[in-house]
Amino acid sequence: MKNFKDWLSSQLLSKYLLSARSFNFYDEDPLREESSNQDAINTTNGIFTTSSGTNDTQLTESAVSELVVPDISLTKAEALQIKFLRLLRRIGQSRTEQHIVSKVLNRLHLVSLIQISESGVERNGVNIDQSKAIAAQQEAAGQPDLDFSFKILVLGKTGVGKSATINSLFDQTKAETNAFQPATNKIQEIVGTIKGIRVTVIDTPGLSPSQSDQRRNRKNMIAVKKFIRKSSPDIVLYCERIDFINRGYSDYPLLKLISDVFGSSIWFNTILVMTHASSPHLEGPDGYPLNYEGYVGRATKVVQHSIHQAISSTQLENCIALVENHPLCKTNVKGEKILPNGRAWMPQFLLLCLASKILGEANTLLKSQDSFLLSQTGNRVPSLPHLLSSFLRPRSLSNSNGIEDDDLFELSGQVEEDEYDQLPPIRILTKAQFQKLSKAQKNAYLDELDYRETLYLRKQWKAEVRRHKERMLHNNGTLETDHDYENNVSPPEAVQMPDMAIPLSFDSDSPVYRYRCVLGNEQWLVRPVLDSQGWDHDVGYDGINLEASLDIKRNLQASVMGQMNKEKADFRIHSESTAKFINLNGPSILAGIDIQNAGKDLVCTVHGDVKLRNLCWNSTGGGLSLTSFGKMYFAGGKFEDSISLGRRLKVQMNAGCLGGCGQIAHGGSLEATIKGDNYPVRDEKVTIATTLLSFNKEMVLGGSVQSDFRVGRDAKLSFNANLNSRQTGQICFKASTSEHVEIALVAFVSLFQALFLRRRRRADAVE
Amino acid sequence: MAFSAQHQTLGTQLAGAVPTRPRRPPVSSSSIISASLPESGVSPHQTSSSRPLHWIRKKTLALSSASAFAAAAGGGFLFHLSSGTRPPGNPGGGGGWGWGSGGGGDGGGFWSFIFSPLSAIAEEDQTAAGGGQEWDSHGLPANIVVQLNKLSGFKKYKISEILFFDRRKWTTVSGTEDSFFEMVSLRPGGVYTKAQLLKELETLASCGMFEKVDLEAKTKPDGTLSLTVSFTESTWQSADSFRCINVGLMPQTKQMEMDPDMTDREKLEYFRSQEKDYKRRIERSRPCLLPFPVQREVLQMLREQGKLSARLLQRIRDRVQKWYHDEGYACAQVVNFGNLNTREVVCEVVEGDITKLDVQFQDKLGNICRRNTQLGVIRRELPKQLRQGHVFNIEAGKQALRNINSLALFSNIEVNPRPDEKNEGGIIVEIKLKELDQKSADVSTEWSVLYLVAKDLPTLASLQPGGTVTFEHRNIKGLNRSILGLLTSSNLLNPQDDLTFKLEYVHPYLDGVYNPRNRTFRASCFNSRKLSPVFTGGSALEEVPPIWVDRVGFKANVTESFTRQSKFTYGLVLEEITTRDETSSICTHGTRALPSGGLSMDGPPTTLSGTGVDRMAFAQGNITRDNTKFVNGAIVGERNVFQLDQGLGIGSKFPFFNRHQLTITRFFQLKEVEEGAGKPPPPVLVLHGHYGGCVGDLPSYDAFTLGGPYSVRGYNMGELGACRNILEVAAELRIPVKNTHVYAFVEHGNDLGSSKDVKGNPTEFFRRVGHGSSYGAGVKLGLVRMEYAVDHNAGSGAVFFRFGERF
Repeated sequence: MKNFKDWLSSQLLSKYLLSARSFNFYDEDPLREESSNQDAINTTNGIFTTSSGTNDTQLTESAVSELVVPDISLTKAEALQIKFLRLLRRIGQSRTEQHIVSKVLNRLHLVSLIQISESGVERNGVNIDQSKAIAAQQEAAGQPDLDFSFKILVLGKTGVGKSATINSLFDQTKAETNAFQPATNKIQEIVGTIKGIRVTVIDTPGLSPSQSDQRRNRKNMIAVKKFIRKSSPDIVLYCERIDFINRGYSDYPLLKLISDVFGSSIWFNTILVMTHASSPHLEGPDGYPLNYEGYVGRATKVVQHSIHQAISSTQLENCIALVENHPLCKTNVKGEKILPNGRAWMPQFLLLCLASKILGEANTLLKSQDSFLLSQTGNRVPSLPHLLSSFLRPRSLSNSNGIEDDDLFELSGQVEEDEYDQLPPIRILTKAQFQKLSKAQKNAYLDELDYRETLYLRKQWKAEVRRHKERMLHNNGTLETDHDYENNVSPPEAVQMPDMAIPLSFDSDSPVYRYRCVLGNEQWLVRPVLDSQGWDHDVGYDGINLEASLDIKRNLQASVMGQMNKEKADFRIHSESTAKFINLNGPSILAGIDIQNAGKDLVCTVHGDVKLRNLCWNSTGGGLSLTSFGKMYFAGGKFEDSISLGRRLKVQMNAGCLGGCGQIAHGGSLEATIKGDNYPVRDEKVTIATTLLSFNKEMVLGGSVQSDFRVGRDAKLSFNANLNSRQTGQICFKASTSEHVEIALVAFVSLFQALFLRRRRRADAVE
Repeated sequence: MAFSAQHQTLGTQLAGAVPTRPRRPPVSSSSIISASLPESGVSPHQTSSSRPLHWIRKKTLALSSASAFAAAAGGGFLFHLSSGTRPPGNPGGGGGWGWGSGGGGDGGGFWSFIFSPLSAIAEEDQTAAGGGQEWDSHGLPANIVVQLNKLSGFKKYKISEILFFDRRKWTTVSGTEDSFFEMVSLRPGGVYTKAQLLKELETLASCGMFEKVDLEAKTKPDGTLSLTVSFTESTWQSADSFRCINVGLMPQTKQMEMDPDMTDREKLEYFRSQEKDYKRRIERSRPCLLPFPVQREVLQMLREQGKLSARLLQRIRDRVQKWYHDEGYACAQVVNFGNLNTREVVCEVVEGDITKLDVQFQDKLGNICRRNTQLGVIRRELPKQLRQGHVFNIEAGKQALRNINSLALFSNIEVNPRPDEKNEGGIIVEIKLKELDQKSADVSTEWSVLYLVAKDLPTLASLQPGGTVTFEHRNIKGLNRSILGLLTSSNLLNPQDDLTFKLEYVHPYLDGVYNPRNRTFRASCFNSRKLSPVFTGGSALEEVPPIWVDRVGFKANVTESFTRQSKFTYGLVLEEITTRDETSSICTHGTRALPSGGLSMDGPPTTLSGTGVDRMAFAQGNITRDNTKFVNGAIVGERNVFQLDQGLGIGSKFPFFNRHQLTITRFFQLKEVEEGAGKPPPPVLVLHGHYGGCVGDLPSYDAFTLGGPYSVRGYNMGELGACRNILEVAAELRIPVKNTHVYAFVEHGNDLGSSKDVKGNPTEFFRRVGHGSSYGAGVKLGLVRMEYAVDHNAGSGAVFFRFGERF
């Protein structure tokens, strides 16, 4: 019965999660087990008696007196021990179950020891021999009354013999049975006494194994759940026919449903009951009949595996009880039905029930049952350096028109002159005329056009910035008129959008109609997220991307950006929402919440930034953030400063630290940006940055270069490189052009390679 | 013969007034409708082009601004006429009756206040007219009445107030409350010279609205003047019939100067000829669009009022014009009333006939340049109503804008009606287009850097870069043909399994640009890697090792569009299908996890050939008949789709099959509603049925799958089974709530017992039921559906977020 051992250790493991102190016991436990299995009692006895001294009788007396001492929880554990021993005496204890008993006693002893050390009382525990003596004494005297009863819930598929098992337990027909059709239609409570112990059994209608009856099963279980709400059962029996366990067919959906309805914790107190235990067993995979133990072992393994799947944890090990209800079953001298291995199943069954109940009570003493989380797979701590670097990143509001605050300030300093308007008019050449030009002339002509375009765009951009700024500076009066203007416009006509482009597929269907819509005046911009590796024969628009930016008030803007995906069981979200208050003469404040999920946990970050513009070339800022990850919290702070040297050079630096859960990370960065002459219009700039992050006495120094520039009139290059002291890095190179499309020929290299490689691979395969 | 005299004054007025008015430069009659597409390539704010589907956003914004613009323009127009804040630069008193600005001759001004951003121009004119100008004090004692010609010719007077004095009723009304206010071009607060005031008086006197009119100035203590317009309204004998004629494009009748020393006989002759001319004019005029109910309404107005007064004519004009503008005929204008003092009132309307359609191409700076796109491509997108000879309708303009926009060839589109200067009353529709760059190419590459352990020098981890190459050539030959290519791999020089490529050629107008038949040829070569819904478990929680279906191949088809939504597509597909397992090695059979933790390899075969690689050629067709339309944002109508795949016996194991599917969806409108912007949508009942069947060879990757967001909601893709025949039925009831709707649905899907006919019975192998129902409810938020669907097999529900419609 190895599984029992495992079960106990898993129970201990549960305690380990709760309190660090029991960790030691856990470590000791397997050792002791290995040293002696049969003599477990003696060994533990020995250990503790040596430490406790020699005065046996005194201790016995003190232990008895302890029963009435106000230190209740301490005595409870020991009282349990005594109770268990008394019960054992009643049900009669055979040699074979000795080790189960010893394990239970051992564990109870541990519980009492823990309680002693927790209560801080200097005193030694009552050893097991002493308890035995007390138990014998009490049992003989019949004093005090043994107040013990348990409640059993029986679950299982229909026809496995739940009601028959109940009848066997009480040794009389308490529940109706039928060999051919489901006999139990409703939940019923059966009360009786077995060997002087009051037992309540809740019999339930059988569950259907078929997939399509999931709905009825769920209904049944919810009814059972309601039934047991008032007094929860101490023990759950999950019945299964041992000869019907089909290795191919898995009960997984049913078990999963049970976990869903009752909660995973139902499996803690569950005993797997294998009915029809004496039925002739099948042959093993090698064709020879298995021995009985092996047969049972295999059958239980299947069920146990399904349970593990259902609770997605392999820690749990349920104990197994074998049951045979057939009236013609062989019996032993005492009239007890025996299994093919010659053992009577009844005492064993009762013992398991007892042990489960007693240990359950012991657990409640330690209050561990409630706080035990099954699916906990260790605490994941987010990477602090990662959090820090995302925190240090300068925050800005994603603006619809792409105007940054700095632009607003910069513009105010400049002398306005519209170069574009001062240009002399130009005659646009027709194609034929253009062809006649010499090469130099062509170039000059195109350059001139390009120059004009730059100026034109710059003029447009300036106008845009000015408008933006004016809107912010406007007093309330004009805001109202703006508002009136909008009111006049308010109900825009519904316009049907052009059909959306759908990714190519080999199907004859192109479901564009699913994405047809009319255009309202929504401020929310919703787009689908394409999962290019989605389902076959499906478009793959699975996720939703949402963007919105609103002007709440004159100086207050807010924006929300996010992506989410919600399927039947799967939920992913990643969102950022920011609100910004801009004051042209004072500080600008930015606050936001980012939500994102990592595994099953949500990572929430709340951050606030302030930016002060103390001089026209210098601005200083700071920020705070609080991140919650599961039940962990991380707080951080940062300081920023940016200096503009002239119009084209800007130096930014920041430093910050972030900590929580006893860890702290520091970091900082220095960045210099040189902008091109026509910066916002022609996106040309060079940025050089270094970052430093330190965490756990480790330091990572990184550097990066980023540059965007134009080559000729119609090509844009972007170069990006970064490298850090951890010896990793990346180089990116991007080119885009509207004229020299020849660069796309690179693709043919890949295509040819792919074809060639494939052929070669296939040739290899043939050889 | 008073009417002809009346007419005569009108005529002279018309002829004389036009040239004196300052013509608004055409620039100010700027875009009525415009849309812009993102310019690819080197446009400044387009740096974030890496984001997917960027274009949708741009387009959305542009279109919404476009409609807002148009709505603003329309609203402004009506607003303008009723309250009369006419820009003084456009003295309305000049033409016909003073309000109808000269029969279309004065196009510039007219258009400007229909289509330009009104407020801006009004403001600008205000300031130009003297809002900001300096003015001189009248220099007279306060509160004395001064005759206009007693004023000094050298001073600029500021008018602080304008009053109207009706001599007949003997009442004084302050300016803005009188319906005649709009006749006067002067504005309180404006600064005018004596000459301007005299001119104003002259125009008022000659406009025909007044029998007598006079201007009196009253001095104010603060140096400004208060102007009183004292007038006697013109009246004519009552009429009992009404006629509306379209005088657009008709030459104005030439008015002979009446010789003051004509004899009576000559005068009689003259009037008679006038009368004759007018009759001929009525005969030659074309009938109006004005419907009978409106005409009857006007008649009612005529009957109620005994005498025909100028004010009544004003009201009639307002009513008639309102109808035109409500219907979208934004250029329609009442220019004249004729035949006064007879029993019939003739209302002359210029409806705005299109005389010319002008398509212009502009470069990035707005200069007119040569086009690349062929004209036929644009012409066929224009609705008939925008052709020459039709009346300009703003709706048609918007339609044209949308159609041209959907070509995706232009970065900026303006549809702009402009008065025809050579043809009075005519409209030239000007379409200004900015072409997008035809070609573009992008190459982005990426190397990873690693330190060499020995030398401690940074090196490239591999010489082979990963990256993306895209290129595009649009609008080839100006016929909207395009080639588009895309290639992505993590190793461009030595691509492995992760190579993704796409090459597409689109050739529209297969039967020629001028042929009304609209067929488009498409050829594409691409690959895809997707999860097979056939190899999934029966419950969401059961783990089944996934099977990837790699498809690579060539597809060529021809699409014939009957309407915008109804289409017939037929074509040929050559494809190679490879099935792979999680480790991306080729697999031949589906697998399932055993309770012991191992894998059973005896699942259904993944391919027809059994080798994991299939090749096949088949023909396919799709007929869609779709007459759904939006009624206040709710879809109403019906859609039938028939799809057919016919195997040709070419490929591995000579696959010969026929796979057909029929989908029928009906959207019943349950209540009649009034259509219009901002009105609530009707409740809609949707009924949907889908049948599919297969005959012949059926590889598992092409089996129909049951369950999923577009099959039976509430289940995962393929959760119910994979089968040979499929039947799905669904009903959905949509109830409008505010701007959107909530809905409840019931769906059922069934394999009709055909799961066992699929090789290896994947339905049973993965423990699936083969049929299932679901029900639930949801709410539509824009294009996003949020719904709660109950999976009836398990009895549990879940919340789903989906993009787009189910049906």
